[in-house]
Amino acid sequence: MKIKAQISMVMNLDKCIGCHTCSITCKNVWTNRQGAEYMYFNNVETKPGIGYPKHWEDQAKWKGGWELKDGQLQLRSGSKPERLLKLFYHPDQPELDDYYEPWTYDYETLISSKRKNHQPIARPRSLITQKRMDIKWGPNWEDDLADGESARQDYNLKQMASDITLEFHDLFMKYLPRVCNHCLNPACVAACPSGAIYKRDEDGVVLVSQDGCRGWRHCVPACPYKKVYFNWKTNKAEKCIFCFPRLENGLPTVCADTCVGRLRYMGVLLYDMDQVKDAASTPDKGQIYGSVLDILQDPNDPAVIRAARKAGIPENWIKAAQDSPVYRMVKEWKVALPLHAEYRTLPMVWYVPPLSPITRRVEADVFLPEVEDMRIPLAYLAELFSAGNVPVITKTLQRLLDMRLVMRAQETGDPLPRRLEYDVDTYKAMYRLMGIAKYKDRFNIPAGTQEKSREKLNQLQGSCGYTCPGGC
Amino acid sequence: MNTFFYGVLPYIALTIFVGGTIVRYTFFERGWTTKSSEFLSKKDLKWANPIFHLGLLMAFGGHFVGILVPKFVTEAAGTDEAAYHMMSLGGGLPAGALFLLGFLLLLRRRFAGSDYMKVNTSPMDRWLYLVLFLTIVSGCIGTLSNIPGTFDYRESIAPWFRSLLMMQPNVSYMSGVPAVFQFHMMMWMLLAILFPFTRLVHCLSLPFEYLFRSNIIYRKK
Amino acid sequence: MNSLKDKSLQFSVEDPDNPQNFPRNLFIWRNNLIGSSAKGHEYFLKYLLGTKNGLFAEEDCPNRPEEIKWREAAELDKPDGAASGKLDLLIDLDFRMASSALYADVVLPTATWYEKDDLSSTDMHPFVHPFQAAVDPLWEARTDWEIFKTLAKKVSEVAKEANLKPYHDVVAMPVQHDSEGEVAQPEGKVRDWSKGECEPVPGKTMPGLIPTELDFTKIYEKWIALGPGVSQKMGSLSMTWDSQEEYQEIAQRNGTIQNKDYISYGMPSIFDAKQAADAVMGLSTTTNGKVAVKAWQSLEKETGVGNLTRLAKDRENERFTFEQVAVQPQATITSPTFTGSNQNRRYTPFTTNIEELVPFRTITGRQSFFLDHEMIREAGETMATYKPILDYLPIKNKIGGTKEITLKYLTPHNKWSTHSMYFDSQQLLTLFRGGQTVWFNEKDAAEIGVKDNDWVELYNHNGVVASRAVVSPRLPRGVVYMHHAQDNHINVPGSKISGTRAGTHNTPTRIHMKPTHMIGGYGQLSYGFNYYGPTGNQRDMYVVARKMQEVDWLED
Repeated sequence: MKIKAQISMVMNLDKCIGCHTCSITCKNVWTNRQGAEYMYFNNVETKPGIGYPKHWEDQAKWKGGWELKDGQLQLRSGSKPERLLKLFYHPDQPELDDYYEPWTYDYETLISSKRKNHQPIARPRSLITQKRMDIKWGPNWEDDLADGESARQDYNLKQMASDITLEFHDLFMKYLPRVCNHCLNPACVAACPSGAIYKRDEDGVVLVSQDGCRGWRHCVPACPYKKVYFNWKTNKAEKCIFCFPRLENGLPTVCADTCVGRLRYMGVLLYDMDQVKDAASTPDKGQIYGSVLDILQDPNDPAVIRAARKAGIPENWIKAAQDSPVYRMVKEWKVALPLHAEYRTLPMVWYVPPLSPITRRVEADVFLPEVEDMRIPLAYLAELFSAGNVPVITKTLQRLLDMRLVMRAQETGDPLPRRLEYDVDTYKAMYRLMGIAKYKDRFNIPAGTQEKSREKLNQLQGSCGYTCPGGC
Repeated sequence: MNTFFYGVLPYIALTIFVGGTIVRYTFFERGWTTKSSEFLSKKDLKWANPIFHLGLLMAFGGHFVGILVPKFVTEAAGTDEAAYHMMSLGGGLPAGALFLLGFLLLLRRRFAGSDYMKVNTSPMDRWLYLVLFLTIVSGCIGTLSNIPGTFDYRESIAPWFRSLLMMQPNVSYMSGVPAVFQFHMMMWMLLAILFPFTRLVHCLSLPFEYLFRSNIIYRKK
Repeated sequence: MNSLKDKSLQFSVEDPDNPQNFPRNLFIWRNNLIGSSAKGHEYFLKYLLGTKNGLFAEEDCPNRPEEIKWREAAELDKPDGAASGKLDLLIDLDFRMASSALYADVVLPTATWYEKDDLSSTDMHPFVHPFQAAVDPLWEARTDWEIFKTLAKKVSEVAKEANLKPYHDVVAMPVQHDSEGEVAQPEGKVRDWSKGECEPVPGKTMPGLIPTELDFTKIYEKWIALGPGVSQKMGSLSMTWDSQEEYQEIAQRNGTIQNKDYISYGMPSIFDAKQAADAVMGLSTTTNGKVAVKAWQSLEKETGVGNLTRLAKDRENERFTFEQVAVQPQATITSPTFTGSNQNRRYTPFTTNIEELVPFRTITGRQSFFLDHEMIREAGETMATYKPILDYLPIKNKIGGTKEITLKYLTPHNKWSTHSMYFDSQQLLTLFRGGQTVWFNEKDAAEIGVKDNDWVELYNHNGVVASRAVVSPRLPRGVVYMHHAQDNHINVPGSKISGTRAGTHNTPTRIHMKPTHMIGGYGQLSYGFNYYGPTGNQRDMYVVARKMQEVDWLED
């Protein structure tokens, strides 16, 4: 076994209110510059909806991620030689209009307008062509089920066996915030012809070397989540960097830190790198999630600790893994699931699926709902979070329901539900972490390793930190 | 005149070509990119780019054989001039056609296509398109005008070029070369001078190693 | 009083179209009146500002008021009709070029939140927060405090030059909530002194009449000081207490006015905003423990309820300062000026009424559902009553010429703005549709041939809105949503119906004054600033929706 550490994130969708604070803060820090305006390293989609970029979940169209070809893992865009042929024209690459044409406004008109017959206004202008623009699409066009016709094109709805019409009496809605998943088996890394994208050894963050990138732009279609973007100004690929300068200082990512709903968690997971390929090659896509759980290692197991130390993982990282909110939610309580595991990239951003209100059908008869009584169809959530495996999503939602029932019983004195999977203390711990969600409990990110920074410190000693002519 | 254009200028061009590229790679790798514009305009790239690059590779291959392989080698292999000329036309005419067709499609795409293309077209790109156009067209005209085979570039241009590479330039080879071919010479030299400052550098980044590397790369900080 | 009785002196409200009664100057400060709050946007444009507007409503109406003077259009000078453009001067303190700034005569650029010192508090949480200047305001922008101080100085100078003498005025003040006057209408019967049904007694059978003196030459001297009005006694609602000690303490803390020529010589200085904040916190029951205790003592005396001071006694020695609050926001001290209790728990109203048996400020001193006032009875609202939406035509004659549908008009709060604040930020506009939107039910939209992102017009007699449609299954049939406060300075075209720029979310609305809100002087129905009084209720509106035929940007 070869142990590696991965900084991982969990998003509790039960709490997402779709405020988009995460999108704005990320944009203002990382992507409010020319070439990157249309990029949202973090975006929030209303589901059902076709999302950003359009129809990103339809891999029959976009051919992102991996597939099994004769039992062997292969990128959906074909073999390596096939992909090299696509250097000149990649048939599966998204264009700007699949995301949206970014715009700004001529605010100056409001201040500098001459006296006119009618009140002046600020009109939109394209940030690409600098010309007057008619706004036809945006990064969050379908917010709150705006444009019902578009929402009905949701790929997951189409995959479901049943007929969902999305009429007023039959509606459901949820928000899905997305970032790069910093996968264990990233398709973008595998697709890059120049090898400029890599996964960091220390923490698993996937980055694009801006010097190494040659602009072959194969990573963009390869990512099934469409979280690698092409910068039209520098003509290189860019992606969510997990705010690694902050991670290296023990701080959570900007999106996680600023999340109003306190729904994001970050912590360390230890995994066995040697088993990654097999896990991704699990024949039944509904079982991939289970295989990934198996390669996540118990940080309290002495054998794992030994192997981790041998692999050079620092002590404070092992400590962090032992006190990881992510490990608890993903592996111990099993309340967090991967998004579209069937893409076989083994994403390391996990989602706690949302409970939802009681469906209108049974509203009159039900007081405390069962999982099946809830508005968001199980099959829909299964498409998103358990690769279509309905029993898995049912069990996960049941754990969340049970937590609520246990906490309710505490207040009302009602008897506990009979078929509890865990003991009461576990549910209380779940509630404390997921319900109360204090800042210090949500993030446990070990800062950069001591040995390296000590080295650098020695290097910096004796220098004045500035470079000046003649050397300082 | 000839001494400068065929004895000095080539060296200036090649020095800038090699030296400039090395400097760019060492100090300015951040800007080293294909400058792909598929993101901005996809549909009209579908045929244009593959055709262009196919024509380019074929033409390049033809130039490699025609310039760098001395006449005596082909003759020793049993190919006389007439046969060679047939073969070179058989490869060169389609190569030229594809190359030119692809280029014209790309030209239309860039300057008469989507508005988005403007942000991917720098002033240097415009010069590049002009020089490339003149190079390709002069090459095509040269090939077409020489279908009868009256001009044997393997006895003039090719040995001259090889003499350049061997650092013993013999400009006399170039006297009597038809105007369109001489113009073609000026164009490649101009292209070589521009090369390090344009997107053309991407051709040196052909990712052959991709076929041999592992799928997932890890890197330490 | 005699002049009032014989009508030689009248209340301004009796003759609103008399130029003597026009509002002349208006400061817009900390709000976006024209683009957001103005309920009846087009009415404001016409009658307040006298500018281009999209109002369709006619001034004619079959019923004329009996006691308010109605001046016919012919009587008035203005060609538009009844007194349009009453305002002479509109001044906007703003840092955003939104509608209010666009229409203002003068825009005074002001500092934003991180560029000034101030206090912030709210009913929603028990803390007092500071605003602090992290950076200086840009260019010529100044803090609000500085702006008003500068204006005060200049006005004083000009007043001196013009040799303005002190101006004497009488201000009518309504009978206040929780005051002696609250029992002005025994048995809830209205007795109108102007009809001779009773004697006019200010503060008893009519509003209080307060003589005031306005000395414009002294405005600045008064602005920079904490005046004598709070130097002896202070009060709130029915409570009063001695404030000499606090006044002296503020003088000590802030220093006093040094200029012997000033009327405020020797008084505590509130020259800058921090000093003003410290003065406020020194006088307030919520931020000065001693004052809280004194106020509780006063309430004990007023109500006869004992042992109330213990609610603030443990914090008697606390006195918030700006520095303190800047280090750590403080939770307010429990005070009798509100009915919550802050001791180790969050504020809930009516806590002290229930737990301490402090009487409710009602006629009966108890919680009550039943209201017996004559006007309430006339309205049929003596108990909590359901009244269905008013059923009336949104406009006398629909415009027609294309498919139209009449919908209930609702204006929920927006997710993309805080009222009109931030709506025009490029980041937030990008995250939805890039401009004004109105939401339709899918079937309603289909009825008028409207698809998602089409341009639509919503109109009634109050004006027309031109917006992009959002078509969603999320709405029931029969309603249209136009979210709050999208203003109309971003990407809003003109409307062919009105011939000018289309309006804001408050264009289809108009205030309906509810008579039962203006009863006054009767227990819990007495007027109190921000407590009880006429509200700006403007809902129960219908609009007619249609697909826009032609989008004209009116760049001329």
